[in-house]
Amino acid sequence: MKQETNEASPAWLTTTVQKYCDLKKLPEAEAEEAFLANCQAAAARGLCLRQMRAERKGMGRVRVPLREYIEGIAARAGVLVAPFFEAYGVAQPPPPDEASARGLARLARMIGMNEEEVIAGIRLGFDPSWTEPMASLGRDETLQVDALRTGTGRGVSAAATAAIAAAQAVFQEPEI
Amino acid sequence: MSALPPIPDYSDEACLRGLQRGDPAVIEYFVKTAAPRLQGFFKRWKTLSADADDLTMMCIEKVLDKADTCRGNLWPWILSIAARLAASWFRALPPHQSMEGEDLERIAAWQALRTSKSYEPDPKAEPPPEILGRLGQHLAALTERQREALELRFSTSPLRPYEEIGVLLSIPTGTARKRVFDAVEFLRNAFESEDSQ
Repeated sequence: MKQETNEASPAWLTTTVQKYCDLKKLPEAEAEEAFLANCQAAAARGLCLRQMRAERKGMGRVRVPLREYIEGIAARAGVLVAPFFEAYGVAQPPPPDEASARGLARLARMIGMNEEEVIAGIRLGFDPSWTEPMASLGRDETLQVDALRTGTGRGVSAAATAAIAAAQAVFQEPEI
Repeated sequence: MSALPPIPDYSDEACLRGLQRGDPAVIEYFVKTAAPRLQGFFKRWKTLSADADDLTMMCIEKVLDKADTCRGNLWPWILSIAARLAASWFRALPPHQSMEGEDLERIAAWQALRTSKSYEPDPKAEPPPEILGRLGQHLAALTERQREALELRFSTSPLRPYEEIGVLLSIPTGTARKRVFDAVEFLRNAFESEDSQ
């Protein structure tokens, strides 16, 4: 076949578009059944996320530990939360360790929660009696806001600080 | 040969609509056809090869999660998601790790093409994931006819002749040439305009 030259397309662009076209080509090797089953499960999770996000819109903020909040959203949306916890590395029992906090924060972000809500939810997981600074309006408000944001401050355990830092790191990642 | 279902079972548009509706049959079809492609896409980078399965699953989850936000043009949109996931994975490499030398060389080869005035593509060159993500966004802005002609042109090596594209699309050769030309011009201008900002 004679090679034609498209004068308008420089080599870098031709190469780049060709890589996109490669993505659309079916590979010759068949995917393994187990892998496809995992991908179907991922697709099902994607659908459930949509439902959970929609459910959350009508629910707003509730003062409960993050894990319970997500479980509540899932229950209201009529979806199982266990596949998410497994896929996102959220372990039992609460309060969350670093890996679980990271998984919960990822999930929370995907259903539309912001960083402060997530941190407050994690703190409540460690100390259910903790009062959110905005609601308390106490003398130590500045200190508590700082504690909410950074995980440091009066009465915050090392485990809670580590969990909060792990959750905050999730929000530093670009959203995809 | 592959036992995967044939591609034209659902058009991209029908597939997207089915994903947006949450149609189980479409989702099953989509996963069967998209998973091996995405797996191959991630495996092209040696650095990502071991995590290609996880990245594929993350991408599929994201596609289903965000299908409502896709306004037509399914595959360019999927490309932009996959490319952003790959870029994010590269960025998250621990400090003691780095991108595999082979991947670095291929990206360097692409960057050398980018700064040259060459019209001879280098099959070993690999665009950085950020570039592929941008390409996905720009492709979505093309008309369906332009993208169709562009894909036919660039999906073979050597490039598919315009005569053949014309036959495949039942259009005159000159029209095929014009559609590809317009698409390439649009993409080139889009990249160059972004680069100059």
